[in-house]
Amino acid sequence: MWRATVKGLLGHKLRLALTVLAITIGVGFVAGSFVFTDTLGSVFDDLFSGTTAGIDVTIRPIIETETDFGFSLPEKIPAAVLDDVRAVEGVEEATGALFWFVQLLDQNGEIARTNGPPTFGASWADTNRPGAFSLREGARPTADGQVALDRKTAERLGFEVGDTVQIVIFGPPESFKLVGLAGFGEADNLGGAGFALFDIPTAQRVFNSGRAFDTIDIAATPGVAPETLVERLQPMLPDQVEAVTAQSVAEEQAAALKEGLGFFNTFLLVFAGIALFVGTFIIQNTFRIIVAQRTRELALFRALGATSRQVTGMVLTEAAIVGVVSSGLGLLFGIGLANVLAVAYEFFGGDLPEAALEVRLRTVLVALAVGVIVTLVSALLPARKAASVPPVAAMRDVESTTRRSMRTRVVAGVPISAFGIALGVIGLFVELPFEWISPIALVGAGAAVVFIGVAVISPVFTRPIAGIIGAPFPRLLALPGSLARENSMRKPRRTAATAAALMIGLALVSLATILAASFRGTVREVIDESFRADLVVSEVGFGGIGFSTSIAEALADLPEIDRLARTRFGQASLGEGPAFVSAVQTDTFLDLFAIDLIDGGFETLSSPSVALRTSRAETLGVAVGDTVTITFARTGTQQLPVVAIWDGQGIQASVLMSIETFETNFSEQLDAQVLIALQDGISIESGRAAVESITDAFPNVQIQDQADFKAQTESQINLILSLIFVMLLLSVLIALLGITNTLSLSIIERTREIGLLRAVGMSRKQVRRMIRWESVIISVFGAVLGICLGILFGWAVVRALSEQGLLFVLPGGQLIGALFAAGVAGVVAAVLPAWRASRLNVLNAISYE
Amino acid sequence: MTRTEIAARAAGAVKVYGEGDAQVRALNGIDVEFGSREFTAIMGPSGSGKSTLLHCLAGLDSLTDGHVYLGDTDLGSLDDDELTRLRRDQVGFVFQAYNLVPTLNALENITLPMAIAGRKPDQTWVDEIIDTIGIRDRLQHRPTELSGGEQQRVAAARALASRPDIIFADEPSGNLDSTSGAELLGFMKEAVQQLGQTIVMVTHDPAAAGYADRVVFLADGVVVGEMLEPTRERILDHIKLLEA
Ligand SMILES: Nc1ncnc2c1ncn2[C@@H]1O[C@H](COP(=O)(O)OP(=O)(O)O)[C@@H](O)[C@H]1O
Ligand SMILES: [Mg+2]
Repeated sequence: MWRATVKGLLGHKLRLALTVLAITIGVGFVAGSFVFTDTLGSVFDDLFSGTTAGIDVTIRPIIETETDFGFSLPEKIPAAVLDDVRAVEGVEEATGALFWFVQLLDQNGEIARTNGPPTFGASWADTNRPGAFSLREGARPTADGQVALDRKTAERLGFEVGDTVQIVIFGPPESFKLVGLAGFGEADNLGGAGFALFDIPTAQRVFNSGRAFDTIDIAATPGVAPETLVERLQPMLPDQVEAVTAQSVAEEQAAALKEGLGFFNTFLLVFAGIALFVGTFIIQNTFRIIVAQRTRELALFRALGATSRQVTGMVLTEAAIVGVVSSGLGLLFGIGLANVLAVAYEFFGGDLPEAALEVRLRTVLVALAVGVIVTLVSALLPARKAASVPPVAAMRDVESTTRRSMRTRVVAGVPISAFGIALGVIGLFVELPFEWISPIALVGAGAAVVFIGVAVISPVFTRPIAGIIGAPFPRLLALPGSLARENSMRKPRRTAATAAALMIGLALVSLATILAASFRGTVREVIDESFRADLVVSEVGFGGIGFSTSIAEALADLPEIDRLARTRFGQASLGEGPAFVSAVQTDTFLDLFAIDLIDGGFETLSSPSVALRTSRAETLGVAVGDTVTITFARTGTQQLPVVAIWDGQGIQASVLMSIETFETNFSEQLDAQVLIALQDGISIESGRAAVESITDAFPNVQIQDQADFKAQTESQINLILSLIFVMLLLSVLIALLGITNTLSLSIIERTREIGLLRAVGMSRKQVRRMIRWESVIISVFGAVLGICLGILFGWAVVRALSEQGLLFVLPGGQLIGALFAAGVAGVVAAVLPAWRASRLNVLNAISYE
Repeated sequence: MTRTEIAARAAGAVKVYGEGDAQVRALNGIDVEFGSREFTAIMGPSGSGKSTLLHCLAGLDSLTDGHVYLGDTDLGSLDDDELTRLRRDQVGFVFQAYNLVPTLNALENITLPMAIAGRKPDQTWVDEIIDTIGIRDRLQHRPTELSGGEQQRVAAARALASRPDIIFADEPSGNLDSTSGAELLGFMKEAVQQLGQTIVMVTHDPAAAGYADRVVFLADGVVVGEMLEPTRERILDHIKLLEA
């Protein structure tokens, strides 16, 4: 049996090659994402243990609120603490350290945009101990007016030691002399983030820190354990400040970066999963066709005494071999892919040390297991079908196509689809009482089940739909057109299974397109409704840092400006969870930005109080007049009265407060936006020119009108959409391989028929046309199914998000474009099979044996 | 019977398959002519080169050496596209089996060469053929719904429908029972006598060859004999003579 299996495999080399490819791509993605994230993971581990090299204990403020970088930093540590710490026994050396965000200007005086993480400013302590930074070139900054950059950033911007570098921190750019280049252990920057390093007094000056520090780093006297030192230090520290071992800081930081990496890994694995799911359809279809084509041979085995189980075993062995081979190739492909990702990572500003990619045993095993299991599962049904071939089939004509009833298809497919829809509906609309599966996973599983259900039913309507799609072909393309149409309808199961693979890709593409269009449409509507300002000044690049309040002060004096409203942005925790906080200028904000006041008013918001978004008020169960508990990093827990309930799009925050309240509770005081209304009779252009006269000194801010605003959000949506498209392209590509595969197999089956057509005078061109348009019908069929499902999914998701104000927008033009693209893809998928069909040896095809 | 024109001709035709030791000379410098409006049968033992000759004459295969002509056209001078067009417009085929496209019904199969060419079939002519072969009530059926005999008659009707200069048939009745075979051959004979067709048919059945106007005997890739106005008995006698 083994020999027969291997021979059978080798006999179908070409047919299996495309199947192998389908699995290889999927497995490659799985392996690639593991290899890349493993590699990056250990790089981060090394990096952070490197950054704390020579440091044993760190003193830092206790961070109670769950904050992201930059929004809400706690109070700094007073300089006196450093003096106290230095006196503690077991502290050999202690230095203060400071961090903040900075922006560098490039050689043209523009804000240097980073492709990835932001640039940090930090202090570089004057100590003999090794620290986070190691000097690569030049010298360490030792005086005001000096700066060192990480080598990667300096290279990127083309700065050399001795150059002048302009840096924006809070106010206008300040010039520094570049005195040195730094690295981090092995790497030239820190996980993609750049650094500008100052000596401590300079850092304190530019970060407005007075004589305080963000952290204090301590080296222990030899023989004193960090833990012991932590215990000794803690009692003497002020409230809100803690001592921790440097090791745990490194672990925390690495863990935080790895969490982000985990999202990335999940993202890649989701698409790998989609690709493999599409792959299963193709593998199953291939095996089914091969089994059908080998009916006579299999029957012969049976007639010669092979049991049905042996026949099943034969097909499954074949599948296992295919699985192993393609997983092996997939692993190699994955390593190649990880290399590509590494290059992309460097492009986005990261720096990987010369470390080799990490291929762990786990990766190898997972890749092999995934590939083999997917192949075996896909081959299961065809294998059982092979086993059901009766020995007498050896004597029968294989070509006789009995039209089996499709009843079972409906009976099985409808409940499957219904089950999938149910899963999706639960995931989208029902609050789950348990946590072991996330709603998103449930929706994903539901979608997968719906795909299977529809794939099971779809042969039932293959003939009518393919007939309709191909209806104009006979007229437009003459005989090749009508043959293409007939051929696509002749084996409904095969056409449907082939189209199903493309259906999945297109359903997801349409879903993404619909969601993007809906977001875009919603944003446009929100901007139209709420954007009452003529111009808005906001920060360029990395959001959330804000800009100097001096800008708004200067703008207020401009005669062109009627009124303006400043806003600030921060984070706090409200009740159980974190909350975004916006501070607004209470007297003017409502004139420049429309929100729905549901209850109360902004009149008293200027005193310490908050205005809550309806949904937040509802979950907290509070109304106007009640008090909420809100915790700030700087001032801790506060009780504030609720003076208004509002609703509205276009504001990220759920808590609004006055600038005054914000100033009391947040340490950093930077404006996030300045909304501007121009005087009557001042055009947007001249208004913009006037505003520019102030902001020109601040390269870190931009001026936008309503149209700019829309364009900006749209370009963000488009960026995300194109990223998703690129990933989905993969599964569409696999689906196209499937079409190529099915067509090639069908052509082998139809050798005689094609030979006959050639003999009676069909030209090669006409043969190619016939195959090509059959392919177009199959792909358009798949696309039609997919787009219909995509619309359904999109509608459901938008419905589920409608509470957040999302409006359903059907991007008709784009969906029709997708349909058209699927048709073109069908043409591409047919190139190879059509070429092979047109090259068939006519004599072989018609010879009778 | 006077020979008016030559419809097809082979001159010194050589066809060699394979190389070295495995070399087979399927046609060994054969010279033969086929007259217009004549029904010629080609006979000979298995492997004597009958099918090869037919394929080369029909533009399905190319010679190793020598020439074949259809009318005045030297097929060796045509490229693949020209040969395809020639097969479509000037040649009709009836093979031993699998003559029909399974997705097309009988009528569509009959008019297939015209459809390929994008030409309208001559309706009265097609009607005449359909009535002659007697399959009018089966026109809408697909090949799988037709009997073997009906399939071969549809194939013959297709060969006739485009009024080709010549029809080649390779053992057309080889897969049929004797009644169906007789019907088909009778129809072919009628096509020559009444419709003025030219048919060249390969067969190893003396009874089938008996329908022809002339029989050409092949052995080892050359013509070894010829008989006009053959009958089954005369053919059998002649074969015995050849084998002796
Ligand atoms: N494609 C081929 N390759 C190699 N040899 C062939 C091929 N076709 C025919 N032959 C050989 O050429 C000879 C003539 O074949 P053919 O014309 O089919 O004979 P017939 O039709 O008279 O039985 C035979 O020996 C056959 O084996
Ligand atoms: Mg033969």
